[in-house]
Amino acid sequence: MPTTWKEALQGRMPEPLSHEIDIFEGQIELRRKGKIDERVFAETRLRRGAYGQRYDNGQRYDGIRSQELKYPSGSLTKGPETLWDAPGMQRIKIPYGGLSPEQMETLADLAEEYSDGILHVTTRQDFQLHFVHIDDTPDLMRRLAASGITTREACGNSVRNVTCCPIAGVCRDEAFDVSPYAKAMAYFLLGHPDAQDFGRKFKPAFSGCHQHACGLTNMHDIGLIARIRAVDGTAKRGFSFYVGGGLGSVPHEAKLLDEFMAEEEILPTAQAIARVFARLGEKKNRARARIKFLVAKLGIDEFRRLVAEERKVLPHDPRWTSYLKDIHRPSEPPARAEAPLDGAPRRGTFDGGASGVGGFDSWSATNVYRQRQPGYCVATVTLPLGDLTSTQMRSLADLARKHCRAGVAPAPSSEGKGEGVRTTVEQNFVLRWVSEADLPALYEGLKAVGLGAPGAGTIVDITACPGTDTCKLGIASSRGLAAELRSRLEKKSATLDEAIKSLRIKISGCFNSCGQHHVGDLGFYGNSRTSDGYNVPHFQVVLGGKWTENGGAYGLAMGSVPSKSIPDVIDALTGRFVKERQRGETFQAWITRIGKKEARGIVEPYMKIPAFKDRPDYYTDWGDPRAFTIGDMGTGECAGEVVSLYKMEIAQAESEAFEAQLALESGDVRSADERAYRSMVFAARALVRTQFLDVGDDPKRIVEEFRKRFFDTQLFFDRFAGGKFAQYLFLRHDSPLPRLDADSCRRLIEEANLFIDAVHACEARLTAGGSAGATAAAVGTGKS
Amino acid sequence: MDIRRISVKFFLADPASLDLELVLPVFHRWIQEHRVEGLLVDVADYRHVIDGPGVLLIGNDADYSLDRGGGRPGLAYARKRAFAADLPATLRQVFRGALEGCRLIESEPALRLRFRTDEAKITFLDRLRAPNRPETFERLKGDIEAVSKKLYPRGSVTPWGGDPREPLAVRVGGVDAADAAGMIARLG
Repeated sequence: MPTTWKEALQGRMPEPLSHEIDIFEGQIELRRKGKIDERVFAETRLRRGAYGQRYDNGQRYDGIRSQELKYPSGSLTKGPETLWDAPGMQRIKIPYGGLSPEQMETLADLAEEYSDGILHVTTRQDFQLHFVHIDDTPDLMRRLAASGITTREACGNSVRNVTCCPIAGVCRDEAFDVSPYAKAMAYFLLGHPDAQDFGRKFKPAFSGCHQHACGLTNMHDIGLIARIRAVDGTAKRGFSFYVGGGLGSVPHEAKLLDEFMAEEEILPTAQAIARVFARLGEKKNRARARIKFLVAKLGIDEFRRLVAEERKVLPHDPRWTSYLKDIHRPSEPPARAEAPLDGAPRRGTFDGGASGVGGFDSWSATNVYRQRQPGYCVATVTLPLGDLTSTQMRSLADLARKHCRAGVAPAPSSEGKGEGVRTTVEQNFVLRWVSEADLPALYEGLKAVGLGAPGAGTIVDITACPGTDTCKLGIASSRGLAAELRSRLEKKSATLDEAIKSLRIKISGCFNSCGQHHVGDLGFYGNSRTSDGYNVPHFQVVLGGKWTENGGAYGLAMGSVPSKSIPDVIDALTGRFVKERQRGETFQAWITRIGKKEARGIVEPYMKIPAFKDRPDYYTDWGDPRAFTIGDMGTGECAGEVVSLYKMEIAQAESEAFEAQLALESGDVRSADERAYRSMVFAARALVRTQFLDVGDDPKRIVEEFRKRFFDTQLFFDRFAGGKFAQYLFLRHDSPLPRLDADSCRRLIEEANLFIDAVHACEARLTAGGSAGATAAAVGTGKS
Repeated sequence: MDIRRISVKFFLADPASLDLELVLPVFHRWIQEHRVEGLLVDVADYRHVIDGPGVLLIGNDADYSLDRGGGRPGLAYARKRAFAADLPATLRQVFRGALEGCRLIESEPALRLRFRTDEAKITFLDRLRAPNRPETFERLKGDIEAVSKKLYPRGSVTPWGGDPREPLAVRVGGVDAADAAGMIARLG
């Protein structure tokens, strides 16, 4: 009987993967002995997908005080301020979201044995396991490797998971199945020498069409949309190739690199882009290191020229095209022959009883998509907050075996007959190639294990990043809010207007956009404000985003609302929408029609924070009974006056930032730019005047004083972002925008809003801990 | 060979009595007040997952959860590290943790929960060292009985059964159970 997983899985792991994991295990041992620098080890584990998790610095605010978590490993770290024994998160890359039942079973086992029994599907088709000990990661990786999964480059400054439309190959509208191309790119770039020297991460995505959301190519570092073009009388496959998109704190829409790139060219072009990015991308300032900043800085024409030059000198690699010969290879037949639903036994589950809610009909109406192949369907398995248990995962594997196409390693195929199960960027699963006649049985099977909820792709199917539950960067509880909204909306889903049902809610716990809030109809990202001397969890309301057309437009911030008022804001917005919408008008079109000012008018009444004595619940977050901030933050009378002045000044800054949005909306980019800049100056002045009342109105003086008092002293520095947000002010102050266009103005406005948020956070820290103790105060806020 | 993760679960006397929303502040307070042995790290909220782990109190050595797994709510105590010297001692350690958890939960007035102690489920969350096979059960049975005889002098030890892909699980129980405090006393 083998005594280690290494021994047990000997011969079952691909040799290169096995070797890499052995090396990683050796590095763990070396770090334990102090023979590897903590920073080097941190990047090493990140490139293996082993991430940090909230409270891993050994500090946790328990609602009364900050407690030190005294781990047995003492001061041993696995990265800067990251204690060895502290639980971590393991991200598992699933290229294009494709899974076999065997892989699902392996994942289920790992969640049970190394995590908390929960598998979390991310917004990029990955899995995350939480509360994993670093010592367990080599065995976890070996077991994945034995089932054909690698965690390599799931995190770190590397090429992340290649995402893809989950219905590629069976979609009724796609140009062709992009899955095999996504797979080819994933494995071509994995560990590629030209993709190892990036300043930041790099995310590719594929879509089969322009009009739907599925691939979200507009918000990716590279995005490819399938196209067919007649060349010399023959239909030729290719892609519209986009580059430089991204969300994050400052979203950029992708730029068109090539309107039609032949299929043979996509891998060498990706390689050439990787080389240009590695060579010219920012390395020191992480806040400006994504490729979107390089594309914006150079301009797409210059970037295109550089990529073309690089492409010319690339040494030939047979892998660029070798996968193409398999594209037309026939794949396995579906598990079941196609058969229409009519006449199939319904087993009494077709309606939900008197309420009409639930039951097969409701589920089928939202969760079933008819494939282009007659007689077959895609069934979406909705996962609340992207979570499922190991037991549910095994049941899902069984259902996939029974009802979907046989789940073998994905074979490239022109007909998209890849494996039957895929994860989605909306944190769900899809089961593909289900015979229509099997739908009732599949529904019964899903319902039996608690996975038969309807509402896929509707307002109840809320996307949320981990937020403060487990993420080190989370500010507010995105999952807590999502769970609350889901619960409320489910209760009234039967009576919701159809126009509301189809809306999408996307929530991030901070400005970093992991919940993709910019492309939801109703987007929210977490921040905080102070009131009565306490921090209050808030969400910035983001409206105007477009989910369709691959995330075709980004919403803009409307105002920050206390977390506990968000359900009311949603009611107000959707109520007005139903009342005022014109025939066929989408939510995004309605927001555009009424304008930002009017939209803000709907949000504004909810921005007020009730007094602590009246509504103490506003001072805690959803699903977390701890006080959001320390309760003993008494401020002196004098300080109170200063805070009062601060509030007036910061309100002026927020107002100016909003005016910038209005100016941008009206096409006045010059005014938008000026107002966005001014809003940052006002915010900086608000902070400076807490120390130096007579700073005056001269921007030069304000910026100088801000730099001297808050930046050089690092009082402004956030625990994780450092001085990043101050750079937004300095950059614009030192050099006006090189090109005054809508894109650059939009980004400047985003930066202004983030700078204002950071000023709020800084003021809260200083108020909590006194200006000498910024670091201690950061702990005291509970934002460890 | 040392088994790396073992859980023991006791079931609620009235499954319908569990309101997980009330459990959240209790577990947070346990962290504030260091109510149970060992380093406590955080609370994980999985109320939204049907038949899931419910609300978990994550610790460094062990996790506690008001768990709804298998459709039978109960308190699960999962030991992850810092094990005792051998399997019988480890099982005593895990039973003690679970029973102490039950006793504390029962003492929380807001929760109004009672556990039935006449049945417990031991789960060996380690497929390498305890694969879910009949021969593993036979191999471990003696060690399990060494502990179960203390808790249930006239009780039995039987395989839990079910899906063989699930981790190995064992049912222990008997009609001669005491309350949680009494069971802790029996462990010695």
